[in-house]
Amino acid sequence: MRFIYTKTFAIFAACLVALAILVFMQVKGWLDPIRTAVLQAPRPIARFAQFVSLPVKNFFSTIYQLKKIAGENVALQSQVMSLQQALVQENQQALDNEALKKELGFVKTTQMQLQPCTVLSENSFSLNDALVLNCGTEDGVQEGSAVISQGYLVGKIIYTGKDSSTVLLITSSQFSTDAKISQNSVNAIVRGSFGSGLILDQISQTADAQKGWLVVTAGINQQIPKNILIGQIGDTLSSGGDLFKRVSIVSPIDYNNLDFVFVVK
Amino acid sequence: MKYLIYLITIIFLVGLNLGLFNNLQLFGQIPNLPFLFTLCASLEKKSYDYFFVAFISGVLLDFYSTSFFGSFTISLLLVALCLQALANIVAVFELNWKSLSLLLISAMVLLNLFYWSYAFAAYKFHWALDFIAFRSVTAAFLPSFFYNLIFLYPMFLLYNFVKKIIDNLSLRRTRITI
Repeated sequence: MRFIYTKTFAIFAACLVALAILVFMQVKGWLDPIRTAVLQAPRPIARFAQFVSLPVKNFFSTIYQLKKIAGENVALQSQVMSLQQALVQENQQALDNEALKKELGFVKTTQMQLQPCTVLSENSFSLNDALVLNCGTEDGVQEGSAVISQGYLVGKIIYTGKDSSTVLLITSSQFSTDAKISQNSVNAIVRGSFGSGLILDQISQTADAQKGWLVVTAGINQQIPKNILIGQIGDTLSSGGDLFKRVSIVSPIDYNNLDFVFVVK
Repeated sequence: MKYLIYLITIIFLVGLNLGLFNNLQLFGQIPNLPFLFTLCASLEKKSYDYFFVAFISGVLLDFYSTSFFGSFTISLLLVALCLQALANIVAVFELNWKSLSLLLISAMVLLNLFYWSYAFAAYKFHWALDFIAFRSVTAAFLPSFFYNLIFLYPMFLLYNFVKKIIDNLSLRRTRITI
């Protein structure tokens, strides 16, 4: 029996005709009222099903979100740590910048040949009040050269290597150099004093040494040029019966926190 | 009466599909319950009810679809016809998971094919302004297949339940008539 003569084909053809009528109605726009009615029919069931399924969906999405939040938390913690490290570096760079600005403020006005150096470490060779710099003979640094910071004498080179050198700070008890009082050119000796900072010694008892007067290098030692600031006269340490007058020197330099210095070539 | 029961069942399945599975998507896919119901109906031998089920399911799905009207209707009618022919040709048809899976996969392939062909034809005849690419029709085939497979047996049980109700009603009517 041919398929087209079967009941199946007849019903199929009837369905196709019904579909064609519906398509025609849809194109003409006559199907809209039926469409609205058909769309509204399953609504109560859909609403009820949504009411049941929504808590389930929220439950699983909350669990999924928790896992995601935990992952985000770990990532954020690691980000915070790296940002904190970056912040520490930035703070250090800001401090270095300030120190360099101060140094550059002096460098612009001076006529001396200066070699900028970074302080690598403090208190090497078991020496108190000593610094290690990252400049050596390759940079033109010599033993005995003056080391200055912000225009003030901070020490002298006592050891040079190829690319590093050791500075004996002016506050060391082993340090001494010639100096003079700027106001009256009275010669004296500057010494470091353990626990007492800087002392201007061997001033003539008849010479005037008033508080606040500037003390500079005398230039007798050829390696340390003259007129490098050392500090200001502070208190008188000697009495009238001593052979020489001794006064303290106050310097604005913080010798414990030096990061950049200049070596006078 | 039986057609009213089929209509109510299909409307119920459409409502369930929209309300329940829109919140329980699997890789962006939801099962097609009216399609599964039509598939189960078309496996019934010596019965023409599957035409009505396929037609109504297709019309309802077309109303909810954005493609040219008739895409689902014609596709479901053709798929139902093919499955009915298969059910009649194969003398011993034992329904188990293997046969159901094979039936489902072939039905889904045919459905996608007919659906895309109709949409393409509608575009070519200038009935529709555009048509969907075949790639987008087949893109989510696997998740859709697995999700439909999960609900195929429950739909089969539902169809048997509905069939039992219809048979009981027709028996009562026969007894009353007698």
